[in-house]
Amino acid sequence: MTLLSVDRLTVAFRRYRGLIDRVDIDCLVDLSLDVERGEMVALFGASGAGKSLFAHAVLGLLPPNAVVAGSIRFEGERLDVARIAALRGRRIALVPQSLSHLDPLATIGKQIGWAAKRAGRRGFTRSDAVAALDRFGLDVSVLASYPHTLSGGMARRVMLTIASVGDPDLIIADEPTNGLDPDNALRVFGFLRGFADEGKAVVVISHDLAAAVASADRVAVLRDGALVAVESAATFREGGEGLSPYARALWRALPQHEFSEAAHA
Amino acid sequence: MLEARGISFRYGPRDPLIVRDLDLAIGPGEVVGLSGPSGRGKSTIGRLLARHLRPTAGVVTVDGASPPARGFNPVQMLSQSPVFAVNPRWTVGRIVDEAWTPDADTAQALGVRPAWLARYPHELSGGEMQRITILRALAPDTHYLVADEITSMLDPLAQAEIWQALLAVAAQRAIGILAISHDAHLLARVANRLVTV
Repeated sequence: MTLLSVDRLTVAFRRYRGLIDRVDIDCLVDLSLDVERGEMVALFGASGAGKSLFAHAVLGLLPPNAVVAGSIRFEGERLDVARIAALRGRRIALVPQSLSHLDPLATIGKQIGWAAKRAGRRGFTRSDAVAALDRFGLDVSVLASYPHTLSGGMARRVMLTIASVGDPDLIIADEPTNGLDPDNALRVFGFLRGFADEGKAVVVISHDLAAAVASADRVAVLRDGALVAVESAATFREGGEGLSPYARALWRALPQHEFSEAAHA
Repeated sequence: MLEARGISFRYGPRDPLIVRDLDLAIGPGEVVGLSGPSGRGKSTIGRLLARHLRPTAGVVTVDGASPPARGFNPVQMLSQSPVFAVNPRWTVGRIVDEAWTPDADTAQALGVRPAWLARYPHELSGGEMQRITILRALAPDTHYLVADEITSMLDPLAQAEIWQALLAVAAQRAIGILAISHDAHLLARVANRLVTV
């Protein structure tokens, strides 16, 4: 069943040149993407391709000078300003990109409690918080610690805990493995895969093509604000024969493959 | 030869040692890969070799001598995020010219287009800006480069192009490189030799 349906989404930023002239700079153009329950879709692209913009558009977090066209639907219902405000942090959750999204002055235990309260979980206790952390391999000592004392890998798992504590239906993870070593990155992707396997829909934004291919069902390739390909993850193998030209060029350019620019589409 | 002999480093007298008694040497034209999990001090080692940090113990030498404290640094540093390594209010042309005026061949080898030089850093993509900071770092007096995750923010195509261009110029001019990365596959491609911390 389609949970998230994005149809011809276009996001532009309006800038004024002088007093009267204004220009709209397109940053996402005609992006259409459906995500089903139980599915993990990776949104892949280079920096500046518009990946985070997509996440912010779905979550209703774009700045005021953004001009949006097209539609975003959740369970068939259009996500307007009021609707997304009601769903955000409850049925739709974000795993943010960096540690700076945590409150530096509050303990992790407190922040998990806030997330549970926001999501409407009543009677959320300390032992519920311990259980939530345990799921991501974090022990009880994390409850009393502050964000700056966590390693990068632990911080990502704390953010996964906070995002999932309200049992959301859709999880959007924005570059959840940036700066992590391969073991920790693999672990985070494994947890995200787990969300999909239990029936949630997961969109993971990543520029790590090999990791995305290894855990997602589909890979959507974004280039300069446009979706140039949506490929089944299984198609990314060997020489990438079944892929569209740009996706194949990316795949072949990985250092574990040909590491060549000659294959450029 | 860029050489670290028995270097150790801690930020303050009570802080833990991040680098402990490390020996490392990079010859002219050699590419040494440095890998290891997060938090093991890879970037700190790079900054020590480029003399952005001074070791608490041990010495770093370039061709047997301590490089002068002032003037052009023969060990240039390249980082993951080029936008943080440039003045956002300067044009790209001025940014490059601060180090040297590149010849057309070097600029072309790195895929830097003349039209970029009139723009400001935020008007170029991450991959384009990384080519600019590499071009700036390739001034005639540069003998060694510390390349700290220079392509980890880029897509695989840009990564392959940038490394191939950089390796070609480095080989031609016998520039030694310390390549720091999480990506074992990448280091296997670019490095002659691997060091793990």
